Amino acid sequence: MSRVPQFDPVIHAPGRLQICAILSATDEAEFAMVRDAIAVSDSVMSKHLKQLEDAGYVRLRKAALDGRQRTWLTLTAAGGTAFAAHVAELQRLATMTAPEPLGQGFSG
Amino acid sequence: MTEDQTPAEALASISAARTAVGGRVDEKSWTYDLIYSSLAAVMIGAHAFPSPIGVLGSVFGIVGLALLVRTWADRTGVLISGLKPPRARWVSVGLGLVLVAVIFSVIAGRQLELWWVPLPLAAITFVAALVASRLWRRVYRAEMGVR
Repeated sequence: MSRVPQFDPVIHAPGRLQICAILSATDEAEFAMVRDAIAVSDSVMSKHLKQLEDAGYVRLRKAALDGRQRTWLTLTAAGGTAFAAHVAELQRLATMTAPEPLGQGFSG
Repeated sequence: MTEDQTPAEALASISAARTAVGGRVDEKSWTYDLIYSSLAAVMIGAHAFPSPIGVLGSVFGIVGLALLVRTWADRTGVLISGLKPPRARWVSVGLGLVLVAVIFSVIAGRQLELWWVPLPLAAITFVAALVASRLWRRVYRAEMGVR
């Protein structure tokens, strides 16, 4: 998985960033579990998933359980690479924008 | 949540999301670990018995493990293979090496015509799988930032 820092506008939106974070730690996660974890409505969640799916970052799988249709989400290889690169970029930016400790750079 | 969060806020939101996943891996429940270890032990122990029982034991174990994983995924909303997270992966690799050694020992026992060899190996498999399963939960939760 590439760790070269690269900003990704598709992943950057907070909801999509959290969806990718959850999926990167699992092999598959269920729609309702992810929706509840990031505290959004069904429609907002579906919008985020549509964008991630269109970018080729997330794959959806439908499965029936007890007569109910459930949707399972997987981060694709391309999604995993893009997410890792985006996190690396966030870490790089966070280091750059972190406040300097008191006294550092002061010569008096 | 706004679109213009700082990099530090974005990183914090990633940690929060991962903690939510880690919380799904229950550390207190032993049910999964006990069923998992028992199925692994059956797969090995069955080879102490005459021909069809060994094969049937392996098939029973594989089907049982697949059903166990799927049932737990449906219950928790997440499916996590042992090889997914970097640090927890090493626990799975360690267990895999133990199981390879056990399988080679079963084969050696068969060649030496020591029919009883799979029985103590089944006990070893049970303990190794149970310890690894419990340890994996701990490492995974720690890796996800769950306290």
